[in-house]
Amino acid sequence: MAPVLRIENLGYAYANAQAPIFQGINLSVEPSEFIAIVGQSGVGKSTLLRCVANLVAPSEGRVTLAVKPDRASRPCAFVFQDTRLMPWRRVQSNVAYGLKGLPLQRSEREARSRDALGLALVAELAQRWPYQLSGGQSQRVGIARALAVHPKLLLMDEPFSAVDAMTRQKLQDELLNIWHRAAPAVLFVTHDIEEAVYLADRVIVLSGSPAHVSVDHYVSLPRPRDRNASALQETARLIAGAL
Amino acid sequence: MPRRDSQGLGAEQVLALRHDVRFQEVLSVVYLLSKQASRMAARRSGRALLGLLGLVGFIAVWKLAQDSALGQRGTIPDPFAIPHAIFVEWRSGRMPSAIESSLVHYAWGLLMGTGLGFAFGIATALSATLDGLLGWVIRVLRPIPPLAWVIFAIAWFKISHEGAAFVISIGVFWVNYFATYSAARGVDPKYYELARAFQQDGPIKRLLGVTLPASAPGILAGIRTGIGSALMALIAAELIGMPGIGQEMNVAAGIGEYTTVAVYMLVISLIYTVCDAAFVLLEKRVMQWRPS
Repeated sequence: MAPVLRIENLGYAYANAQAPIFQGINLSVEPSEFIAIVGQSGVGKSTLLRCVANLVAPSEGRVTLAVKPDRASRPCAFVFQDTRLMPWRRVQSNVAYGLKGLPLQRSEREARSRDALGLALVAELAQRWPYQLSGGQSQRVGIARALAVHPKLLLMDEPFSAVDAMTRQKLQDELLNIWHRAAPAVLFVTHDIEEAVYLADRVIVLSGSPAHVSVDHYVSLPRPRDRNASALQETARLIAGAL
Repeated sequence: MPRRDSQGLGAEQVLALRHDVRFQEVLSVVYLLSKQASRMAARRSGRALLGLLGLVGFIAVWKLAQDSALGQRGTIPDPFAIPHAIFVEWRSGRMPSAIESSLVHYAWGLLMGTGLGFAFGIATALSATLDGLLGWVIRVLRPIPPLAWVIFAIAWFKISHEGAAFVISIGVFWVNYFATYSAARGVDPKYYELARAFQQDGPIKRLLGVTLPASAPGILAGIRTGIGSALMALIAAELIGMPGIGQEMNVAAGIGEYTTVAVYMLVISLIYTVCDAAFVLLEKRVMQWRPS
């Protein structure tokens, strides 16, 4: 199967910076593949994701999204660390935000956002305002908003870093359920290596200065995984050693 | 020999002691009253009662000032003569026509100033070219008070509704221009990034989907301030010659009818209160997404 995303020799430098923050990144993402990107602060994990989403232009290299054009979906969708719900829109309207401009009937748009809210287990919150949500609920709504556009590639920038440990584990399991059902390819940025190993098929480590891919580890543990299993802990320790 | 009581205190000491005791009694009464008042302020009905008490207190101070002839005699109107003065002004037909005339000035001035201030504020906030182009023009025009334009208003529009509306709109324009400009410039860039991430980043989509809703609190605050400043400009413009409430006040002051002046001041207050209350209701509806 052809990859949905191909990153070739990608590099990024801030304006007026002497050296790029990352350079020579090559990565190929297969359909429905779950890839976690880990690395220390400042190596450019989030910037890499922004380059893929075309939110910033890379200084060098190329990003190719090889997704068949589909009239009723968007090639990729972004889940932000700070959820970024628009406070002036109700939850349902936030979820439907990415659907504007797609050739869909009003009823189809409503059904899509309802389905996405259901998939993220927050259907009952549809009429609430964002300020009426908890951190975990907000993050679920952010995920629902991304799922509503039926993306082939889901870009997630440390989505669970701002929630408490229990909510985080719950959200990780829900994300895996969603991934099994909707089957998009996922590029998941995190600084938590155990989270990366628990969720992903493949863990990419960015390190060095300028940062580059120092480890590309295929996680061969069977699913569903046990967070406390020694094999998972061992894999996490192995990857942590490369940081 | 000075008289002494059973405890051996002199008359002056006894008097001082009594004063102390009385002062402490007054203090404790004030303390109890303030405690009761803060308890009342916590309740809605209590707050209304306190407001009423404040109003009664204000009228009492007003009446005391009038009775004690503060300032030049006859320049402080009797608050209890106000209801009769309202009746006389209304029956004479002067008050209805003055209110009607002022409301026309007010409505047109407010609408024009708000609309233009909003439009220019948004346009300059979003267009760096326009911002650069108008930067110095605004610096030159902004410090000129709206009343300075009365001379040109009379020259261009004669003594007319248009002239008054023009002067009012200038004052309202600046309030709305700056409120809209700074609100639109202050929109958190993360929402624009969100719009890009979900392919909603055309100029119209950005304006309607992000800029306007995100800057609505600032824009609405500007409109509300404009509602008040329009009245100030209105009265000032009419004091100089345009027909309306301000002119009636000027005429009444000229013949020493200070009670009539106070009547029209209360009319101004009423107009502002009604407009502001209506706007607050609208604002609450528009801004229901903000936690109250």
